[in-house]
Amino acid sequence: MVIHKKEVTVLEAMGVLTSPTPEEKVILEEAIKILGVRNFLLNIEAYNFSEPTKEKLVDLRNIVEEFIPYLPHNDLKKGGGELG
Amino acid sequence: MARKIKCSETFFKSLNALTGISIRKIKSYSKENNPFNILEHPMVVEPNEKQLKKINMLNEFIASYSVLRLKEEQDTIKFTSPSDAGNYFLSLLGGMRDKERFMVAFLDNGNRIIETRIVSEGTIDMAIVKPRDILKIAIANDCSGLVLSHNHPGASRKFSKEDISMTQKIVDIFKPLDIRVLDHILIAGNQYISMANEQCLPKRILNEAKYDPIHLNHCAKENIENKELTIMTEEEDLEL
Repeated sequence: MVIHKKEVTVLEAMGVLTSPTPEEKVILEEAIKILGVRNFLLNIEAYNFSEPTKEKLVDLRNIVEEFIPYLPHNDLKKGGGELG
Repeated sequence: MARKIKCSETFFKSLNALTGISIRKIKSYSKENNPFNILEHPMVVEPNEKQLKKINMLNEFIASYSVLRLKEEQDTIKFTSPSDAGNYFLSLLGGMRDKERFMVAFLDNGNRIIETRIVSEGTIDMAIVKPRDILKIAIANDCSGLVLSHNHPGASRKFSKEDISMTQKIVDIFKPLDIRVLDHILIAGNQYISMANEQCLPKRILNEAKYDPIHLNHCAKENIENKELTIMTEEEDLEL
């Protein structure tokens, strides 16, 4: 899977700000590829990060959450039905 | 006139933890100014070189996060069949054998994912799911549908009785709120099994939770009657 350029920037910034171990860097990269950065931040607690890394990731989430009201909101279109 | 922006204590602490700028400095600046200025115009708090680098990185992160968040919302994954849901959860839970995890995808009316959350993490053979936790996220997202998923670390490919009764319980809670449980995906090793495909997904309510509108007038009347009754009882007590 190709990583979007912005995901690289997110990963680089996360690397500088949270100082993960090389193993944690791999977890971060995989998790963001699969979940996307937003869902990853919502699910930090589910991953096996060391306490200092987890705390810093939560700090990042806290800062981003305060910014959410200032971020443009893309309203999802409605419509649809049952699966299959 | 500039709008006064208030930030939480958590924001201040997190900013301090990530950048190294002292809480005292952050709070002192934020008393009279917009705290977000610290990010946009870092020199207002006179950071040292290391702190400035961290603030710049934080700005990079926020900018990239904003773009990615928008992109992710535009590229939202849509479930059109049980196999879409199966493959999605397989990518998240496939191969996890250390413990049981329970995930929920919260969907809009178009079956697009609004958010996916791990709602419970358990031991090797069980996870405790609290419908209250799912309800909180569902309401916060104003979702219209749910797809549940959990893994069997032991790789058993059959839904247990508990899996089905728990799904029924979630249907009982959410159906009266017009939130549909569309499927429950079981991940066993590197395979998925769909409860909808297996024709064992509960669709009807077994024990309906009551969410009927409460008529306030009736309540008020009852309250007044109860109050009168209390007063009468007190008066009777006095007479005695």
